[in-house]
Amino acid sequence: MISHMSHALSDLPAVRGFLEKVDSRVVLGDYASFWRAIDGFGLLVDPSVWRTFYASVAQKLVVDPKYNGGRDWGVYGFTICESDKIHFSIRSTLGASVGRNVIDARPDHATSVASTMTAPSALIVASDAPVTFNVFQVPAEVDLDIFDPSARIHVCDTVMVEPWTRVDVRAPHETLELVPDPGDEYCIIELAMRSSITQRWEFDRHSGVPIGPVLISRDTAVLRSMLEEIARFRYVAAMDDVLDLASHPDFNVRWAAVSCAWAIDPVVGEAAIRRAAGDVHPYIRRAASAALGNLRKGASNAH
Amino acid sequence: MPIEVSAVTSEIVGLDEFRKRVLDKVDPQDPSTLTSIALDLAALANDKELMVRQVAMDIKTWRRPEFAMCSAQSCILDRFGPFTVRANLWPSVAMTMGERDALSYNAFHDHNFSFATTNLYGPGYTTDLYEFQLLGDWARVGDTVLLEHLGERRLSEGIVVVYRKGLDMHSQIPPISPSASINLIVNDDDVLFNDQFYFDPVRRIIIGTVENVVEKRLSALSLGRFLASEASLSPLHAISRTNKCKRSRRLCKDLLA
Repeated sequence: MISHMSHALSDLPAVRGFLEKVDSRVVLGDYASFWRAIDGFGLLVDPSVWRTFYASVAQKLVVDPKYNGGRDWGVYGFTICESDKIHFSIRSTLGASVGRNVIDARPDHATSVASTMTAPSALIVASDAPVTFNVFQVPAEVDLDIFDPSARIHVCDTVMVEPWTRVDVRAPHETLELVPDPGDEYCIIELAMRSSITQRWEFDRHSGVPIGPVLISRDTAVLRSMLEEIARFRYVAAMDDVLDLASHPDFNVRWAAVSCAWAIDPVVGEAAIRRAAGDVHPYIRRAASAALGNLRKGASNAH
Repeated sequence: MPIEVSAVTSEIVGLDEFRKRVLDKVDPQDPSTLTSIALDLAALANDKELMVRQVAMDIKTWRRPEFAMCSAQSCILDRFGPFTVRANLWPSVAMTMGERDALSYNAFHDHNFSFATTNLYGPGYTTDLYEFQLLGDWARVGDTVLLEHLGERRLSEGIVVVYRKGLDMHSQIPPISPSASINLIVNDDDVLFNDQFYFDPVRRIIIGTVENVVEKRLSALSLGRFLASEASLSPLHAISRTNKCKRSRRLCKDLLA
């Protein structure tokens, strides 16, 4: 269901209709459905669409100078449309002064990281000149929901993209990364499927070795923080809802809920850990088995 | 320097009563009146379960999230008129890059809003304080600023600190154990139009701009570098003449040049 459609599409009914159609056709987790759903993407490659869009963006600030951007504006771009299945945005390299320190060179460890992307997308580059992308791949058999330190990423191609042409990104196992050039200025218009995996991976670009997983979902990060707060206060009144979260689709939330239940009430928590020992995700099964082992050890030491 | 008020009370008030008192006592046009709410903010913070109650209510909605927690660290408890009551979590260790970015640990910044803050629970974070002055009315990254170091303070119970927009600059230092603070923020028009910066106090320079509404507007307008056309000339002219944000005016002039 579409939860945000920018005011700036008000004079672009064809784009609105296209996005509604895409949203109705995409099936989460079925990457092929995304490619079928965006068969009218060519409509978006027309620069005149984006000139109309931008005129609306500017006009809004004339009519409503106190507009705070709502869900449209971001620090690095503009969210055009959002639903539980798609995300449509423009990102820009133009905000060069934004950030904690834009004067000093970034440390080596920050520039040597390549990240996987989370779901398939189609994009267009708006720029004065072609831009260059590195194409990375993770082996197709790697399950990105399970962090595997033995997996490797590798650069499989470098491609030069002309302005106003369509580029398909077959993420999550394929990743596109702009080759950084400090002088380059460009916008990227991107229609992406919502992720059905819970994390992206960061890799050392030189060795291809994975550094660690990074949570994708803001809701997951917030829910984990909320569960930590409930655990800190041992807030018994929340126990039923905490146990309900043990069925959350994101394994990070499920384990946080089990840990929280144990912090509130060890008896109820132990039962939750036993259930978690049969979880579909190996991380949770391993963590639950380890926790049960510790509990057994604690009990035998007490005797 | 930030105004520090001793605020020791055994009274406990809820959000509804606090809202009434704010509306009675604080003039949003005069941030110095925030000091008059110090005891009431301390009384609100005496309800140690204020935040966890909200969190416990919110997790019921996880299938269609409508969380008061707008990030993993911040919880909006109430909004009325120009006022926001917000609780912030302060972990003793920032684990991820995202947490480090959200928490302002060791990042010196100013504010384009005034606010009063006190500790909700835990020992409280420490803040390293400066008073600053821009040289001229058009500041840019790399510019020199005048700074006066005011030392470090811990936001412990019984103290309310009022930070003044455009004058006080600080950086948070992680507390020794997890803590939470509670803020009463006054969001006047300056939030929409005024600058906010990151500073390097050693070199006494501005090293970046804060990710706020001004930067978001500039980001949206800057798309005109590639997407502007005859259809956008008229609105860009209008913004370049009349918008209250000087940097938005300047950007539109540049786009039109």
